[in-house]
Amino acid sequence: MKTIKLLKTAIDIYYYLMLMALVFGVITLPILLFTNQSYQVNIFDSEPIDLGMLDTLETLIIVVSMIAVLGIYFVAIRLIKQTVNIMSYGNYFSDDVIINLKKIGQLFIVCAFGFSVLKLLINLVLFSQFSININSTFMIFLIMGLFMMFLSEAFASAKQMKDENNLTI
Amino acid sequence: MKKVKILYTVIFISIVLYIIHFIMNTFLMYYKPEFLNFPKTFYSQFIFGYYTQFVSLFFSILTFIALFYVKSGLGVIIKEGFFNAKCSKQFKISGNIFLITGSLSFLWYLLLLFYSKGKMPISGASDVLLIIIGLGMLVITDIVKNGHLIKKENDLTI
Repeated sequence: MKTIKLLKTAIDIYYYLMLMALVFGVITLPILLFTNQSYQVNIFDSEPIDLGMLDTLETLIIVVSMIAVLGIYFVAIRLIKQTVNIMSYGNYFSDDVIINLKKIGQLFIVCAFGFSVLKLLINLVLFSQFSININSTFMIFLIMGLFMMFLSEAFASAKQMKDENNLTI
Repeated sequence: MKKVKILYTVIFISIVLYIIHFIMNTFLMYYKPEFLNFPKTFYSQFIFGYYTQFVSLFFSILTFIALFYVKSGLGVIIKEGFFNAKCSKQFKISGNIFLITGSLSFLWYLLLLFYSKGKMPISGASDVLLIIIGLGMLVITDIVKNGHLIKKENDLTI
């Protein structure tokens, strides 16, 4: 019980920090882009990218794809926050938890490919290089996604057992 | 069970990639190419001098050990089913290692941030994510134990 409260606090902090960063980014990005100033961004473990040195079309491609991938990641984190919230009340094997875990898993797998496509696009636009590689971000998201989907299955199985148990009594 | 097997394979591939990474690092440590032969004065600007390069390697080794335990836990699940005491033990160890790695890595990032007087780019998201993964694994351990208890009761009723 103590661990889940710690997890809930950690996810809450992470979620609100991410929300603040997203709001800050949405407000400052157009201002800095239109003033042609240096605007460095770094996504997870990638090297910082200066969006100020790109032309309008290149910036648009990078920014739109970045918003799309980060948006999906944000939705996944929001779902985790909701799920941990439900679990903190002791409802481990409820339908909501099972459905949410499956959705989170699917979103993380989309993120794994999304971040890879984003990196590919950045390499293509910034350095005119076409390279496909397996990086740590891809592996982490793939493992986390599959793990969440596996948990969803395990929880569904536990729910079935619990229901059978309750019926027997 | 299909997803567990896929997950097991992906983790196995990650472990193999980690081993290749360690072998490459060891090789480069002993047989340095010319462009990596920096003078001693170059290392003096880093926090631990020459040994700074080994800090991230240390975190990689910790993550590798944690992944190894996750793999063993999944192996037990494939053999004995979802809820059993053995896999909860493996997950607990991996959760603790992830938690320690994430915390140490985040502290290292903060140390670098202070050392560089704020010149480091804002990062550390992956470290926080590692801490969350660690805590998540510990919660899963509790849930697996809970499920194991339900399974035992169910088996006894039958």
